[in-house]
Amino acid sequence: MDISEDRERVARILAGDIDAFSEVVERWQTPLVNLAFRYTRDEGLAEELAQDAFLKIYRNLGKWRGDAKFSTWLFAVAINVFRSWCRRRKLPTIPLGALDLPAAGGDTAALVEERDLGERVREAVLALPPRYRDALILFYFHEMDVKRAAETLGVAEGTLKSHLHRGRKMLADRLPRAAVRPSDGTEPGPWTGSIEFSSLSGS
Amino acid sequence: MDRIDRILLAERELTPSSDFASRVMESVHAEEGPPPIPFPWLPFALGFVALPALLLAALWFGQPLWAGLLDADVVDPRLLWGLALMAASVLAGLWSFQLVSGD
Repeated sequence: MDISEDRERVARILAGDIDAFSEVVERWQTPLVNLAFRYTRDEGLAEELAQDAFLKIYRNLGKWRGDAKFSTWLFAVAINVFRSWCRRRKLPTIPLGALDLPAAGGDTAALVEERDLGERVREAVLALPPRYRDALILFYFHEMDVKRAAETLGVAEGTLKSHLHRGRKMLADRLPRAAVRPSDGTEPGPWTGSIEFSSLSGS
Repeated sequence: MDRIDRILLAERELTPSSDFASRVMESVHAEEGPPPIPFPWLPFALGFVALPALLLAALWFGQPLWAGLLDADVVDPRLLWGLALMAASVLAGLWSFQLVSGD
């Protein structure tokens, strides 16, 4: 969507055409609900939180100066809503040492365990310190696009990479060595801490 | 891409419920009026500083003129302050009307 179209739409809404905001909701409801889900891990709560985010976006529309992409500003406002929710909820720290990770396998039981493992890892991300948590969530939400994630969080790319590195290290340090078993079945070595960032084109 | 990447990248995609958008618009319509336009703090701050500075400068450099108009050797400072405050009030009021009217 063209930035001039966004500017024109925002101008109409600020001028009193409230129904024009439904175009913003229709366009961004799926990404916002999905981003909220990454924080809540609950579908119902994700919709509630996304609704709160849209309301805050509406109230603060006058603050979008039109110099940055509308999507970047929209996600930044939403992230603040989700962060506030996390602070109010005082999410408990999950003992990462309790994660008992199976080796990668092909049978049904292993696949079910793998799915369960995935959910536990995602919950473990939520237990990280906020700056590492947000960095990881936004990085993977934006399909590993460092630039977009950094813009949304309002930090430099170097800062984001640093937060990603530390967040992933905290996750990996607490996971059993089996968690990072390479797919060829060889024994994993210690996690080197190096991350290759790919800049895929974001949506 | 390691296992953590694959796990965190493979998030299932939710579809918002069919009435999500209408619920959002209901809450938006419940707000009173369109979203507020932020107060123009920078122009306000500049004016707040510039206006009294200009007035004081006009009073200081125009002192001989005031003295002549009032037919006195020395102008009573209280009179000058009074005139300055009146002028500032008038200007502030005019500027407020301008801000509100959006011109």
